[in-house]
Amino acid sequence: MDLIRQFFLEAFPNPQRIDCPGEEIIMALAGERLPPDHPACLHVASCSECFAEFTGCILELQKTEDSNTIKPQDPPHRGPNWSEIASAVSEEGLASVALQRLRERIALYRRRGEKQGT
Amino acid sequence: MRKSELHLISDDGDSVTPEIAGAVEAAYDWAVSMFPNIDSALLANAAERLARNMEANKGELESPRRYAYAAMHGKVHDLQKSRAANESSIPLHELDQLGVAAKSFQDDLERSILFQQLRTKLSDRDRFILMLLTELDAGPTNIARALGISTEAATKAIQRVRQRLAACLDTAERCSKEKRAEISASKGLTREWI
Repeated sequence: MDLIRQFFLEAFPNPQRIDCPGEEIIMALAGERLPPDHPACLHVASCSECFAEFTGCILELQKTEDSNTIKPQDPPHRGPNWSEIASAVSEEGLASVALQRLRERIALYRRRGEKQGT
Repeated sequence: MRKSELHLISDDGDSVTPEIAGAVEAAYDWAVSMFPNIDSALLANAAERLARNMEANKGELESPRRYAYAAMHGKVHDLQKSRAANESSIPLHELDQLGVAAKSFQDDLERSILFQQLRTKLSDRDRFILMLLTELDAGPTNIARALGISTEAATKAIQRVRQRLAACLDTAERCSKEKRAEISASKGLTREWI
């Protein structure tokens, strides 16, 4: 753990919670809804118990923000983009071969259709 | 272990009240996040026991959230002291070869000395600046506003805090080396890792 955090968490025990601000104030401080010159900020830097709550509040707020963020949905499914596929395999020098094979298959399919039609 | 896997029930086997469940889950998440070297299964066990106790005494609790954080913090402190919960992927004999296991008590001592020095050397104002810098990612402008001083003065104040911090760390390192030399000399041993 970060040494500075450890310092704040261990060096200022205040089990009697003397002069501790309320939970709402600590939450507001963590959410940066209070000015940094608020006296609670100074207290949090001098009370290990409040510092623990303060870091917990920051964590909770981060989690809430993460859960509220709408994740981008997957794009709708579309058919194969042959030019993309061709460009993807172009590095291996297979693009022209792949397209040629595709054309041959389409031509073969058409010919079969024509034969069946006649 | 994720928070959804906590099984928070009372002594009677019923679910604990949502307020207590929320408080315990938040405190558990905090402990897992802040102390990643501690076995999360032990923390989960402590959290479940805490929820049971809180549910049994819910009439006496002034603030469940505050109580849960204080209790988890205390539990973490106990686990750190006993060192029963430290997770390590390295076998014990290898740790001993590296001297990690052997110097754990010494580390605790050095850390407490360092913290005492930091308490002495850093004023309330310095600690305030340090907390703004580390926890709220404040810059010189924010610190200037918080302290009611100019940005230039805030920049200098930040620099001074860093210098004091560095001086304490340097002193601690020097003391640590001297102590280690004393220990090895007193034991008549030369450790590879010093």
